[in-house]
Amino acid sequence: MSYLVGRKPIWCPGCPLHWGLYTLAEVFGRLGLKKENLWVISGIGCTGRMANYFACNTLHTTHGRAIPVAEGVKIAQPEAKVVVISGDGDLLSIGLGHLLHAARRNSPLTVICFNNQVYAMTGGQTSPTTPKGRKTKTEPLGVRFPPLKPKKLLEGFRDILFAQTLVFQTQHFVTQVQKALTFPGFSFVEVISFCRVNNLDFRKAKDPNLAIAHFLKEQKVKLKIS
Amino acid sequence: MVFWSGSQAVVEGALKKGARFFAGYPITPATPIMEKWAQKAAGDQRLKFLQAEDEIAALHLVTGAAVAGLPSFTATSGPGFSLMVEGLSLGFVWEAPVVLIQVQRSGPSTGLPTRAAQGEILQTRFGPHGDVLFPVFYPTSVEEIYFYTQVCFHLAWRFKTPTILLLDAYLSLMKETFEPSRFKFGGKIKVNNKTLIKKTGLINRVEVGRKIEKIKKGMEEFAAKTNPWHLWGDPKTSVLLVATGFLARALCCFANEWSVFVPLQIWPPLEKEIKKVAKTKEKILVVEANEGQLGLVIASILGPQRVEVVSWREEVVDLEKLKSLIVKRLK
Repeated sequence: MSYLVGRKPIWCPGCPLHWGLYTLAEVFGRLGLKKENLWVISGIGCTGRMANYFACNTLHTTHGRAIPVAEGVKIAQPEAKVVVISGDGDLLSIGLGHLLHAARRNSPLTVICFNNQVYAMTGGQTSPTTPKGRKTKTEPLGVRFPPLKPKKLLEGFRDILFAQTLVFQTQHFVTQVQKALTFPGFSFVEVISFCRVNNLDFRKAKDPNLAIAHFLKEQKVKLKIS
Repeated sequence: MVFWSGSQAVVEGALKKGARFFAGYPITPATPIMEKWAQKAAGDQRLKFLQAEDEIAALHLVTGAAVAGLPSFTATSGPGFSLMVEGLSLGFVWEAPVVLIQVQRSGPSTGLPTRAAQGEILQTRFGPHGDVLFPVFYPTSVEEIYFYTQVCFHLAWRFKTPTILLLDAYLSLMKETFEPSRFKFGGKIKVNNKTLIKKTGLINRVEVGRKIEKIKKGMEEFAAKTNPWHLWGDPKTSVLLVATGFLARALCCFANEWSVFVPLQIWPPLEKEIKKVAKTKEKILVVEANEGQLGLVIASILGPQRVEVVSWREEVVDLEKLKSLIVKRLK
């Protein structure tokens, strides 16, 4: 695929991000985006590695700062297509202020958030989206606080586009991202994902694959994907 | 002739060099720069302006824009600068030509926002994480602010690095008369619609080290060409006073008694020049509105035994008090 540099990603075998990377490259191709006109900007974390594998203008920013950098790029090059790809820890914890204000300003960006409910790159700490009660490395007795829901957060902004999709639901994923990329204002796609290594629920399950399959099925029903 | 405040001189200097984008966050005493730019941007479609949600966003906005080819700058003061140093290291690694105006105010934390001090001289060098070096200038008058704003833009784009213009509350708020056409530096920066980064940036210690070396060498050449310092007063006196910013302006009044050296380029320090000036001096006093930051720099060049620091702790500059403070040290 011409949108990728062809370097082997460093993600764990079986990580949904591999699939996400190839699918996004496919969507860029389908929309016929010009590489010199396309900017992929990411923050820090497993998903933050994304920018390193695209063969267009890419920027790998510091933790949480992908959105302001992307807005700066968009101001400098108004014709460019600017896509932010990052994780839940990056966008919804340290970068939450920037996310809300970019939505308030309706900045013409597309933000794709891979939500795996955990800080995976640093080894399994609590993220703002970790469900209450789940045990993590920093909450050994179970997470004490309810998770942050991006849908609820962004509901108040009427002019933006918010979409949710699920990993491995390729058709749904592609249509949602396509919709977001062709939207003229601020668009946010939450991709429900998982981490099979750092999610202790999965790791400690008798059959991790079955636990993941169960999780994906449950999410599919929740998101009403047919 | 114009009658401009320091803040206006910053904006006019930036426009002279072709600046197109400013993002900032209100903070006294740097706010007038943002307001002046906002007024300019309201009347000119090519000029962009954004009031960011915080200083971190402000610096990252201009960094992103600069990397995408648009001449951009931001302005802040003490606490805001502490937030911005996060992005400065990123700007260094990306080789982003960002210009940052740092208007120093008094005191840590909230402090005294309407009073001047010089508490961030070392922070501009050692504040950011990792090992970085930016060209830093500290002018002493409105005409010099106009000139060195242009210099900052010029060097940022020439060396492909963030540059910092240090000011203080008094300099940025005071108004002076001068002739702008006499203070031009270099041509306009062209807007470049391609990404400036050819690869991932400076990714290892070798590349970072080389970049710092390159900046040091370039700045040496720049200093040799433009003489970014003042030497006021009788060069034969045995006493040398070293000062910057608003205190340099005050010490100018004592130039008939002592010689006063004012480095306008703070980082990298003017080693050769300082050594040359201090050669015949018996007593070297660094007068500054902090507890010895520039003094540390001068001491690292001349040796700690030769340098003494006179700390100015008052809010308003009182010449008699300042003089008695110096005289006391000379006894």
